[in-house]
Amino acid sequence: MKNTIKIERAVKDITQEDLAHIISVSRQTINAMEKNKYVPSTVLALKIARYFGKPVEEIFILEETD
Amino acid sequence: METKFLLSNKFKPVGWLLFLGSALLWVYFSLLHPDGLPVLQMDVFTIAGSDFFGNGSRGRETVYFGLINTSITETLFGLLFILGGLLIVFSREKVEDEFIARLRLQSFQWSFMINYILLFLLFFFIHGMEFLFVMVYHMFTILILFICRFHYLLYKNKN
Repeated sequence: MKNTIKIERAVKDITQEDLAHIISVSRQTINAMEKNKYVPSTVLALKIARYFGKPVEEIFILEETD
Repeated sequence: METKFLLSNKFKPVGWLLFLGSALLWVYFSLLHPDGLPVLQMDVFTIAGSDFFGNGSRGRETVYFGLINTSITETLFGLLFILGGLLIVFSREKVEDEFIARLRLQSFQWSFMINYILLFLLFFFIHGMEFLFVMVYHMFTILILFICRFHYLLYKNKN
Protein backbone atom coordinates (compact mmCIF):
# COMPACT_ATOMS: atom_id res chain seq x y z
CA MET A 1 0.00 0.00 0.00
CA LYS A 2 1.24 3.47 -0.86
CA ASN A 3 0.00 6.82 0.39
CA THR A 4 -0.01 10.50 -0.51
CA ILE A 5 0.61 11.87 2.98
CA LYS A 6 3.78 13.65 1.93
CA ILE A 7 2.01 15.38 -0.97
CA GLU A 8 -1.01 16.32 1.16
CA ARG A 9 1.37 17.65 3.77
CA ALA A 10 3.13 19.78 1.15
CA VAL A 11 -0.22 21.15 -0.05
CA LYS A 12 -1.11 22.18 3.51
CA ASP A 13 2.48 23.35 4.05
CA ILE A 14 2.95 21.67 7.43
CA THR A 15 5.93 19.71 8.79
CA GLN A 16 5.96 16.07 9.96
CA GLU A 17 6.16 17.42 13.50
CA ASP A 18 3.01 19.55 13.00
CA LEU A 19 1.01 16.70 11.50
CA ALA A 20 2.18 14.34 14.25
CA HIS A 21 1.03 16.85 16.85
CA ILE A 22 -2.36 17.43 15.20
CA ILE A 23 -3.32 13.75 15.04
CA SER A 24 -1.50 12.91 18.33
CA VAL A 25 1.05 10.40 17.10
CA SER A 26 4.85 10.46 17.19
CA ARG A 27 6.96 11.98 14.42
CA GLN A 28 8.44 8.52 13.84
CA THR A 29 4.98 7.27 12.86
CA ILE A 30 4.47 9.97 10.21
CA ASN A 31 7.99 9.42 8.88
CA ALA A 32 7.57 5.63 8.70
CA MET A 33 4.23 5.96 6.87
CA GLU A 34 5.66 8.42 4.32
CA LYS A 35 8.53 6.02 3.66
CA ASN A 36 6.03 3.15 3.23
CA LYS A 37 7.61 1.31 6.15
CA TYR A 38 4.43 1.24 8.18
CA VAL A 39 0.81 0.51 7.35
CA PRO A 40 -1.33 2.46 9.83
CA SER A 41 -4.33 1.05 11.68
CA THR A 42 -7.79 1.85 10.29
CA VAL A 43 -8.35 4.39 13.07
CA LEU A 44 -5.16 6.27 12.23
CA ALA A 45 -5.88 6.16 8.47
CA LEU A 46 -9.36 7.62 9.09
CA LYS A 47 -7.93 10.36 11.33
CA ILE A 48 -5.41 11.36 8.66
CA ALA A 49 -8.09 11.37 5.96
CA ARG A 50 -10.40 13.47 8.15
CA TYR A 51 -7.67 16.02 8.78
CA PHE A 52 -6.90 16.39 5.05
CA GLY A 53 -10.64 16.47 4.27
CA LYS A 54 -10.53 13.64 1.74
CA PRO A 55 -11.82 10.05 1.53
CA VAL A 56 -9.38 7.43 2.84
CA GLU A 57 -9.05 5.90 -0.65
CA GLU A 58 -7.59 9.11 -2.01
CA ILE A 59 -4.78 9.10 0.54
CA PHE A 60 -4.15 5.36 0.94
CA ILE A 61 -3.94 3.40 -2.30
CA LEU A 62 -3.63 -0.37 -2.73
CA GLU A 63 -0.82 -1.67 -4.92
CA GLU A 64 -0.65 -4.71 -7.25
CA THR A 65 1.23 -6.72 -4.65
CA ASP A 66 -1.34 -6.19 -1.87
CA MET B 1 -3.38 1.20 20.62
CA GLU B 2 -2.48 0.82 24.28
CA THR B 3 0.47 -1.30 25.32
CA LYS B 4 -0.18 -2.93 28.68
CA PHE B 5 2.05 -2.73 31.75
CA LEU B 6 3.64 0.62 30.90
CA LEU B 7 4.47 3.33 33.43
CA SER B 8 4.26 7.09 33.01
CA ASN B 9 6.96 8.78 30.92
CA LYS B 10 8.12 10.55 34.12
CA PHE B 11 9.82 7.34 35.30
CA LYS B 12 12.17 7.24 32.32
CA PRO B 13 14.72 9.84 33.53
CA VAL B 14 14.68 8.18 36.97
CA GLY B 15 15.41 4.86 35.23
CA TRP B 16 18.34 6.32 33.28
CA LEU B 17 19.80 7.83 36.46
CA LEU B 18 19.63 4.54 38.38
CA PHE B 19 20.78 2.48 35.38
CA LEU B 20 23.84 4.57 34.49
CA GLY B 21 24.60 5.56 38.08
CA SER B 22 24.68 2.00 39.37
CA ALA B 23 26.70 0.83 36.34
CA LEU B 24 29.35 3.52 36.93
CA LEU B 25 29.48 2.87 40.68
CA TRP B 26 29.73 -0.87 39.98
CA VAL B 27 32.79 -0.32 37.77
CA TYR B 28 34.27 2.09 40.31
CA PHE B 29 33.86 -0.30 43.23
CA SER B 30 34.98 -3.40 41.39
CA LEU B 31 38.21 -1.61 40.44
CA LEU B 32 38.94 0.23 43.71
CA HIS B 33 37.08 -1.71 46.42
CA PRO B 34 36.87 -5.31 45.21
CA ASP B 35 35.89 -6.49 48.73
CA GLY B 36 33.04 -4.01 48.97
CA LEU B 37 32.66 -0.98 51.21
CA PRO B 38 33.07 -1.62 54.96
CA VAL B 39 29.83 0.36 55.49
CA LEU B 40 27.97 -2.18 53.36
CA GLN B 41 29.24 -5.14 55.41
CA MET B 42 26.23 -6.07 57.51
CA ASP B 43 23.85 -8.70 58.82
CA VAL B 44 21.20 -9.46 56.23
CA PHE B 45 18.29 -11.86 56.07
CA THR B 46 18.66 -14.65 53.54
CA ILE B 47 16.41 -17.45 52.31
CA ALA B 48 19.51 -19.47 51.44
CA GLY B 49 22.96 -17.94 51.51
CA SER B 50 26.50 -17.92 52.80
CA ASP B 51 29.34 -15.44 52.92
CA PHE B 52 31.30 -17.63 50.51
CA PHE B 53 33.44 -14.90 48.94
CA GLY B 54 33.86 -12.61 51.93
CA ASN B 55 35.11 -12.56 55.50
CA GLY B 56 31.89 -11.98 57.41
CA SER B 57 31.81 -12.45 61.18
CA ARG B 58 29.31 -15.35 61.08
CA GLY B 59 31.39 -17.83 59.10
CA ARG B 60 30.94 -19.30 55.64
CA GLU B 61 28.42 -22.10 56.19
CA THR B 62 25.11 -21.98 54.36
CA VAL B 63 22.22 -20.47 56.31
CA TYR B 64 18.54 -21.08 55.49
CA PHE B 65 15.96 -18.48 56.49
CA GLY B 66 18.36 -16.69 58.80
CA LEU B 67 20.91 -13.93 59.11
CA ILE B 68 24.34 -13.89 57.52
CA ASN B 69 27.05 -11.29 57.76
CA THR B 70 28.17 -10.32 54.28
CA SER B 71 28.91 -7.42 51.94
CA ILE B 72 25.78 -6.14 50.20
CA THR B 73 27.73 -4.04 47.65
CA GLU B 74 26.88 -6.30 44.69
CA THR B 75 23.34 -6.84 46.01
CA LEU B 76 22.72 -3.11 46.14
CA PHE B 77 24.13 -2.21 42.72
CA GLY B 78 22.57 -5.26 41.08
CA LEU B 79 19.14 -4.31 42.43
CA LEU B 80 19.49 -0.66 41.41
CA PHE B 81 20.71 -1.63 37.93
CA ILE B 82 17.75 -3.99 37.36
CA LEU B 83 15.30 -1.44 38.77
CA GLY B 84 16.72 1.33 36.56
CA GLY B 85 16.69 -0.92 33.50
CA LEU B 86 13.08 -1.98 34.09
CA LEU B 87 12.00 1.65 34.52
CA ILE B 88 13.59 2.56 31.17
CA VAL B 89 12.11 -0.46 29.38
CA PHE B 90 8.60 -0.13 30.84
CA SER B 91 8.15 3.64 30.73
CA ARG B 92 5.95 5.16 28.07
CA GLU B 93 7.53 7.30 25.38
CA LYS B 94 6.33 10.93 25.33
CA VAL B 95 3.93 9.94 22.54
CA GLU B 96 3.25 6.22 22.83
CA ASP B 97 1.26 5.37 19.69
CA GLU B 98 0.66 2.23 17.59
CA PHE B 99 3.94 2.49 15.65
CA ILE B 100 6.00 2.96 18.82
CA ALA B 101 4.18 -0.06 20.29
CA ARG B 102 5.27 -2.05 17.23
CA LEU B 103 8.89 -0.91 17.58
CA ARG B 104 8.72 -1.92 21.24
CA LEU B 105 7.46 -5.39 20.34
CA GLN B 106 10.06 -5.83 17.59
CA SER B 107 12.79 -4.77 20.02
CA PHE B 108 11.58 -7.29 22.61
CA GLN B 109 11.67 -10.07 20.03
CA TRP B 110 15.08 -9.02 18.75
CA SER B 111 16.68 -8.75 22.18
CA PHE B 112 15.16 -12.07 23.32
CA MET B 113 16.62 -13.80 20.27
CA ILE B 114 20.06 -12.15 20.38
CA ASN B 115 20.23 -12.78 24.12
CA TYR B 116 19.88 -16.54 23.60
CA ILE B 117 22.13 -16.69 20.53
CA LEU B 118 24.78 -14.98 22.66
CA LEU B 119 24.23 -17.44 25.51
CA PHE B 120 24.37 -20.37 23.09
CA LEU B 121 27.77 -19.24 21.76
CA LEU B 122 29.12 -18.54 25.24
CA PHE B 123 27.93 -21.97 26.44
CA PHE B 124 29.90 -23.43 23.57
CA PHE B 125 33.14 -21.53 24.06
CA ILE B 126 33.41 -20.71 27.78
CA HIS B 127 34.15 -23.48 30.27
CA GLY B 128 34.91 -23.97 33.96
CA MET B 129 35.02 -21.16 36.52
CA GLU B 130 35.02 -18.55 33.75
CA PHE B 131 31.45 -19.57 32.95
CA LEU B 132 30.49 -17.92 36.24
CA PHE B 133 31.15 -14.53 34.61
CA VAL B 134 28.88 -15.49 31.72
CA MET B 135 26.12 -16.27 34.24
CA VAL B 136 26.65 -13.00 36.08
CA TYR B 137 26.60 -10.78 33.00
CA HIS B 138 23.89 -12.71 31.19
CA MET B 139 21.44 -11.69 33.92
CA PHE B 140 21.59 -8.15 32.54
CA THR B 141 22.12 -8.57 28.80
CA ILE B 142 18.44 -8.72 27.83
CA LEU B 143 17.82 -5.33 29.48
CA ILE B 144 20.88 -3.80 27.81
CA LEU B 145 20.07 -5.30 24.40
CA PHE B 146 16.46 -4.09 24.51
CA ILE B 147 17.40 -0.57 25.55
CA CYS B 148 20.01 -0.30 22.76
CA ARG B 149 17.76 -1.78 20.07
CA PHE B 150 14.62 0.19 20.96
CA HIS B 151 16.39 3.53 21.10
CA TYR B 152 18.29 2.77 17.90
CA LEU B 153 14.97 2.07 16.11
CA LEU B 154 13.40 5.24 17.53
CA TYR B 155 16.38 7.25 16.30
CA LYS B 156 16.48 5.56 12.90
CA ASN B 157 12.79 6.18 12.24
CA LYS B 158 13.08 9.86 13.07
CA ASN B 159 15.16 10.57 9.96
